[in-house]
Parts: sequence; structure tokens; C-alpha cells
Amino acid sequence: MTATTINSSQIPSSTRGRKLVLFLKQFFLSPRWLFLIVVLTLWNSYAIFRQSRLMPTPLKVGMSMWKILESGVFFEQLAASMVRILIGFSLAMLIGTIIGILMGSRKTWDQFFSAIVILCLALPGLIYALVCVMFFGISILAPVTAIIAGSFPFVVVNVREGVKALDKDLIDMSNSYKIGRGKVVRQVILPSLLPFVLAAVRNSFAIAWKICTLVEVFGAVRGVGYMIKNSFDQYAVHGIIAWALLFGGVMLIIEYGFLVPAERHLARWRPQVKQVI
Amino acid sequence: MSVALSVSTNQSSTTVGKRVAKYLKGLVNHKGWLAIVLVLIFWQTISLLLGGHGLVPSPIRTAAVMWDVLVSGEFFVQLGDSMARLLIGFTLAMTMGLIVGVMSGSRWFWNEFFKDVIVLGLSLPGLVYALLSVVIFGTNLMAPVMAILFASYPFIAVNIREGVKAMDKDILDMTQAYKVGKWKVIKNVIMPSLLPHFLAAIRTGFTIAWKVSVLTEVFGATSGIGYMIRFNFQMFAVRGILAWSLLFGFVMLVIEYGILVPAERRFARWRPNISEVVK
Repeated sequence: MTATTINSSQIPSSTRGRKLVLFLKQFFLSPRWLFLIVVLTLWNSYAIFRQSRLMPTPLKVGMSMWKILESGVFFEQLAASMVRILIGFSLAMLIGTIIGILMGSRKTWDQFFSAIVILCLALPGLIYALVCVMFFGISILAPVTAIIAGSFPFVVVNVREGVKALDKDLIDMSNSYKIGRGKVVRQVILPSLLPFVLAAVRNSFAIAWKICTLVEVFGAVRGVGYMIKNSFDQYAVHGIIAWALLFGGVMLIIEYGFLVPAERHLARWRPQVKQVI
Repeated sequence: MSVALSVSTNQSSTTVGKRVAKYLKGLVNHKGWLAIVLVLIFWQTISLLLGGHGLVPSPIRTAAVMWDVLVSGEFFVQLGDSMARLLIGFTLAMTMGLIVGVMSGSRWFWNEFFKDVIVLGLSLPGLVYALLSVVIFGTNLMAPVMAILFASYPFIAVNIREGVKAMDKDILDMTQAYKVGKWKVIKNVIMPSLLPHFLAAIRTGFTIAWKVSVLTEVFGATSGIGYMIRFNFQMFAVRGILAWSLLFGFVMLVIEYGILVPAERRFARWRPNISEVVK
């Protein structure tokens, strides 16, 4: 008994400090920095060798990134894009979840939707973007519809697997013990569905922002995609790279900073699900 | 023994016939047709309500354009151009993905070295590669090839890396202890264990590759499926966009579900855990 108190009071704090030191050491001594240096050096020397507007030096790209950030243009355009992404993504989640639950729980619905889901999974985002731009012009309906069409199949696939993976024995048991419907939904179905829903969120969000950028390239007067297109029209390679890296960086932060940890946290109690994710 | 065998083969031939009949029956009774028919009816109604021409072409008109494009042989000409670019780019991407994947799967150093660029490569949209390579390389062959290479190698590298990591070290140790020849180890241990991951890499990489290839052709090419889609976009011909993209999507679906997925299933057969992951 005394041994456990010593264990819990003293050793963890020292190991935590050691762990932090170890983590920092690993982080700063990681070969990833070597990669960055190698790439930047190669890029820089090639750009200086080429002396062309089409091959900007990394310094120039960095400068234009800073200019975009500092002037606040980036945040304006990001906000414009994010509004479209979030509206389209929420609707895609809604539609995808409904269809996914239908497909996971009834064979008829599974067959009914399967052809459409496979077709929508296979068609490139470009098609949705072009067709929606032609139908709806530069209104907000264009990105929203394109995002729904492009990303709902990913939600459907994940939610369907989640519904199929529900533990039927637990539900049968709660039925035979006459547990209330709300309680079953809250304590059996939702916790077991949640990891799959989060995987759906992550997958479809990644598709949603890419399709939104595409739509903005073909038909929009604001947004990150429009700015990329603008740089493309001016043959400004540094602009394309700067906007793409900044936008990609924000999306990486959202994905690996919020969505992946949330998934890990909620899938903690299910080792087999964690592995699939 | 021989009697039993002949009886069982006899039985199996009838079950094959029965299975084919059952499969066909299942295909005809499949509820997916209902969904397709409903979508077509919905589409037809909308196009009739909006006048039946211009922005919302009826499915019949779209099918007519598809038929024209197929019969005149134009589809196959453009498909040939696109496929040539696609195959060159994809071969390069496979080579690069294999090298990066094997390196980062087998050594800690290379794993850390390539980790960030793979994550970045996985998350940047194909659009960025397409636009950059069109600006830098113009409308020649280099543009689609480079865009495909950089967009799809991360997906290949990730799959190969996981495959190398999942290799059974105990078996490798055992072959060393028994002094089995290097070639034999590669042929009998490493290849069979890597093959399912390799096929998964081909499938995911190929899906990305053809999408990026179309995108590159949209922005800078004078032939190919993407160019035709772009051409129809500029003519405001929705029926053309739909016809070309549905035909191309159909060809790619046939390649994916007709060749790549069955190949994966076949080679993953002996490993139930992997065949479940691949699906």
C-alpha cells in the first residue's frame, strides 16, 4: 500500500519532466528538419540558377506569404471560403448520416443507394465544380451543392460501417431488460457510433475544402480558390504557392489539431476501432 | 475416393450454374436500378420543367451526345491521349512512392525524414499541383506527368510504408537463422506479404492520378478528356461536360472495380485481416 503511494506521488512527476525533455529532444533532433533544409537549399539554388519569374526563390514565396498574412487579406478570403465550406459540409454530414443509417440498418436501402454512392465516390470533384458553377453561377449555391455532392458519399460509407458494427447483443439485452429508448440511444448506440462519425467528419471535411477551392477557381469573386486562380492568371507562381501553403496549413491544423485528437479520444475505449482509423 | 471426387465435381458444376443464375437474378432484382431509374426520372422532369435545353439537358440528350462521341471514335482518341499521360505519370509516381515507402518503412531515420512531406502531400489539393505544373511547364507532356507524380506518390508511399512495417519480423529472423538465400526470402516471404499493400497502393494512387490528370488537362492541354471537358465548359454545354465525364468515369470505374479490386481480393485471400482492411 505504501509502495503505491510512493509510486503515485514521486515517480510520475520526474518521469513527466524526463518525458518532456525527451520529447523536445526528439522533436528538435528529428531528421524532418534535415529534409526541410535539403529541400529549401535545392529549391533556392535551382531558382537562382534559373533566374525566372516562373521559379521564385523560397524567400520570395515566404515574403508573399507574410504580405498576405500581414495585410489581413488572407483572413478575409479564408472567412469567405470557410462560410461556404461549413454550410456545404454540415448539409453533407446531415444527408450522409441519414443515408448511412438507412444503408447500415436495412438491406433494401443498402442496395438502393449503393450504385449512386459508388458513382458519386468515383466522379472527380472537378465535375461537380464545373456543373454547379454553370447551374448556379457565382451564388453560394454553387460551392454548397458541389460540396454536398462530393463529400456526402464519404460520410455515407463511414456511417454505414458504424451502424453495421453496432453490437446487436447489447441492443437485444437492453431490449429484454426494458431499458428506455432514449437511454439506449444515449448510452449504447451513440458511443459506439461516435468514432465512425468522427472518421466521417475528417474524411468528408478533407474533400469539402478541396472541392470548395475548385469551385472558387471556376466561379467566385472571393475566397482562397479565387485568389489562387488570380495568381494563376498573372503567372505568379509565388502567389499560387503562398496561398496554397497557407490554406493547406490551416486545414492541416484543423485536421491534425482537432479532428484526429478528437477521434483518438473518443475511440480510446475501442482498441479495434482505433486501429482501423 | 475417385467416385466421391467425381460426384463432388459434378455437384460443383451444377452449383456453378445455379450460382450464376442466382447472381444474375440478384443483379436484376438489385434495388440499385430503382435508384438509378428514379434519378433519371427526376432529372428528366427538371429538364422538362426548365425548357429541356441549355443548362439542364435531358438524360436522353446527354446519352445522345455520349453515343455520338463514342461512335465517331473521338472518345477513344482523347482517351488514348489522356491514358498515355496518365500511365507515364503514374509509373513515375509508383517508382518514387515505392522508393520513399520502402525507405521510410524500414528505417527510423527515413521515416522521420519523409514524414512531413508525405502529410503535406496527402493534404494539398490536386488543383495546386495542376496549376503549378501548367504555369511552370506549359502545355507540353511534362505538366500532367509532374502533377500526377507529385499528387499521387504520397498515397503510394503511405501504403508501401505500412506494408513494410507490417512485415513479419519473426519469419525474416527465422530465414536468416536457417540461412535461406536472399532471393528466396524476397520471393517467398517479402513479396507475398507486401503484395496486398502494393495493390492497395496502386488502387489509391491510380484514383488520385486520373483525377489530377483530368484537372491538368483542363488548365493546360490541347487534347485529352480534360481538354474536352474544358471546351464544353467554355461553350456552356452541360450535356458535353456530363457526357465526357460520365464516360471517362465509367472507364475508370471499370479499371478500378473490374481489375484492381479483384486483384487485391485475390492476393489478400490468404490474409483475412488484410482483406478486411482493403475491402
